[in-house]
Amino acid sequence: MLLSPCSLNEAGESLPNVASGNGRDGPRDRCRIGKLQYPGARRRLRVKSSESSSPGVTDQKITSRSVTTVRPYQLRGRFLTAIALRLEGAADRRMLAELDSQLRQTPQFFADAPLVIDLEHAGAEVVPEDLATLVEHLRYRQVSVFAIQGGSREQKAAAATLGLISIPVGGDTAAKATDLKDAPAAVAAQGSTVPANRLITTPVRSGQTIMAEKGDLTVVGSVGSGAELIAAGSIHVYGQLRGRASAGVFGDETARIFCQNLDAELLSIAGLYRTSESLDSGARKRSVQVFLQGDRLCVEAFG
Amino acid sequence: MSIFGFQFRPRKAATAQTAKERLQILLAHERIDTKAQDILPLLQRDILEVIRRHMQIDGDAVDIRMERDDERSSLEINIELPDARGGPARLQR
Amino acid sequence: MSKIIVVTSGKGGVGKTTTSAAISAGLAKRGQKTVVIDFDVGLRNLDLIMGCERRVVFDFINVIQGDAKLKQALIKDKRLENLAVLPTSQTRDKDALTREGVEKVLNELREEFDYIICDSPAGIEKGAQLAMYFADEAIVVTNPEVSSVRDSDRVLGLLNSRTRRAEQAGMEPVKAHALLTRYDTARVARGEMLTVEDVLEILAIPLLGIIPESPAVLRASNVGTPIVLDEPSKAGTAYEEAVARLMGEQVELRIATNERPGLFQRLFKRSA
Repeated sequence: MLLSPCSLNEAGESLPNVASGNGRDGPRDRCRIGKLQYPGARRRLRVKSSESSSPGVTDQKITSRSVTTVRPYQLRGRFLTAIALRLEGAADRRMLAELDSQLRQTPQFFADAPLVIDLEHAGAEVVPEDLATLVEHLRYRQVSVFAIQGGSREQKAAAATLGLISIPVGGDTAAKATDLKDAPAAVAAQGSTVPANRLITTPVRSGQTIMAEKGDLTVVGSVGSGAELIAAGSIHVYGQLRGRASAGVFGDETARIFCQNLDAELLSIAGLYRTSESLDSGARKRSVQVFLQGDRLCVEAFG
Repeated sequence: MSIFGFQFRPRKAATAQTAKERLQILLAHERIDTKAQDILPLLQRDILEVIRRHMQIDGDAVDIRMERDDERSSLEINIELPDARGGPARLQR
Repeated sequence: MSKIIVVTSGKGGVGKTTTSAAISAGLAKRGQKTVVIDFDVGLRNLDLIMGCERRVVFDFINVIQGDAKLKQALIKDKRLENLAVLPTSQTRDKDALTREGVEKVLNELREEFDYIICDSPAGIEKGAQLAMYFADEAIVVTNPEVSSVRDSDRVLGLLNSRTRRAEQAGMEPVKAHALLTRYDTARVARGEMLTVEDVLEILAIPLLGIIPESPAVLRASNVGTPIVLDEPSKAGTAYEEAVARLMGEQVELRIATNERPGLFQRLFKRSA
């Protein structure tokens, strides 16, 4: 029985996975073993020769050349882009009405996008009943809310009863750690701080997702509509940017997005985003840089 | 029909007529034949088996063809039998 | 060394099957032994466009499943001796296709044919994936229209990641060419349609040819003849030039104007 690993290609997409254990398809494909291999999967098959009755029976060791496993699953790391809905106060009727108006304006943005309710700024104002109302409100509108972050113990308990998970504060608020003691720990938790920049020299096709987990992402070529660029640092596009670009995804508010020709569907830095509807027509098709100034995402044309 | 004394060319109608005829024949066959189409390979295999019970022949000794036109469909079965004198003989029906 | 060329697009209705028929007939006309395979299981159309719909007995799926031999399923074209068609099933669906089965059939075809043209179905599901998986080259058929261009871009991404050549280190990637079809010079001039430059700027692959919008295409499919074998037409000529470029010849790109001038122009010409 052959293993069915997936390799991750250059773009971070996984290649088709032929599930093991299903006898219907016949012989399996051979693929390269991917980076996220489950440790300890190598095994040696030991066969005892049955006819030897003398003491000192030798075990024949058959080492298989390819990695084999009979495990019916694989554990893989997965990176998810989610929207964080940061509440600045109570989740009252006015807030819900404003949210509705936002949903009506950009419905496509919220469709199928996983959403996290960020309670860090809201504090105790959001009581469990309000949380329940909000969640129901979102679910009714087909928004996939799945977690809260930055909540108090009561809020976390309320979330659990609503079927939401509590994700640790990190992600977009890593840069805002108020407690100095926590700050270095948060940074250390992200692994080494040595940046590893990524360079892509072929056009990024519609539907592809390119990610630079540590450092900047540079694309020499155009980025198709429907494609997504994600970077911990800044994003540089020497070509036309038609898809989505998210810089500073782990909270780096100094990250910027640079492109030669702006026609993006969405731009975001450290979680703060703007879609093409709110982008000024003056900046369209021009050479621009995008950066955060306070709580605003600024788009400035060069020259 | 004419405008300013020019006739609209009827040439286009000719190929549409051919297309319509081809489709009518094809769809008529496809509608009743959906099962029949799947049967041909099974038929071929079964015939091969039956003949093999009585004599030794190659795996590809049975060949089935079907021709369809406006008036009729015909099924042609070619069976290549081993000749006692060494060369293969042919049985056609 | 035989070449496997997939004719794909992502978007439906842009002219893949017309192109597959035209390119294969064009290659066969030039003396290349060519076979064209229909990968659109359950919705086969290649046999209809090629005019051999009445001679389909066994199909691609029968061969994959071992119910028939390849030579029983292959239909020799009556007009060109170098051309053969491998039709697909009308009663099954894409689940009947398997990668191993397709590979086996392609390997067998490689022994006899110089060019193997795979007519992909629309979409990016199994049929389309398998049609492109073993390709050496790809013809990405695109209309000068936004959704077609975007879908073609998506397909280019798949050609660069989900094919044998992309997955195996050391192999050259699939060589992709763009073929612009249903090009209407009048509409481009009025600014209603994307220009060639617009499309190429987005797709960034070499251009194989520009096929003008033409009533000849409909006529050819009505009678079941590949357009290059039908009476001469601008679209037919454009396809023949594309075939020449495919074979490595340098043919200057001309954008043919549409077959029919507008009604008013025709009246004007007549009355003078």
